[in-house]
Amino acid sequence: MWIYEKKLQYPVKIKNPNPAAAKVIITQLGGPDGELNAAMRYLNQRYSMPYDKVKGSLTDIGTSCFLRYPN
Amino acid sequence: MRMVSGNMSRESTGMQIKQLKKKIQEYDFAIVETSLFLDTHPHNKKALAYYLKLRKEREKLANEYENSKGPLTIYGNMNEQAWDWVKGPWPWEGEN
Repeated sequence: MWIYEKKLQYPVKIKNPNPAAAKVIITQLGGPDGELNAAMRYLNQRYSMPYDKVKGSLTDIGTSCFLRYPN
Repeated sequence: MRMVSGNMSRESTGMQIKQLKKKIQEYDFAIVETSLFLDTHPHNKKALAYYLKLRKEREKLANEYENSKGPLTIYGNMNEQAWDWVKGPWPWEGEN
């Protein structure tokens, strides 16, 4: 199930590092109500979905949350 | 350009590595978006044709990238002499 690409989603060049902004961004990802929490819910709820379309959407969107991790 | 065994017969686009990588990123974005649409519209002919077109082109570019620069996934290590997958820089290390 797990495969990842060794590339960013798009080229990134940070001219002015901003630790305050970085803190906010990482909270969006891993904090309360963060994308990771949502991803876990989607990935777990897809098993009880009766429709293929919904299983597909939940899986694709749930796994796409990991796109946020630069890897 | 490092020559490794593999798809020697393929035509190269002549692009530089950075340009190639950016093109792949563009196609990947389009493919992800299209796939999300297709999840809920699995029989949409237009979307399917678009997806097919994207995938064919992306495949060409990714092959060229993996044969000259290095693997994009663990399945793409073309160098038979070394495990290029682990070689830096990694995506968060600013090489773009």
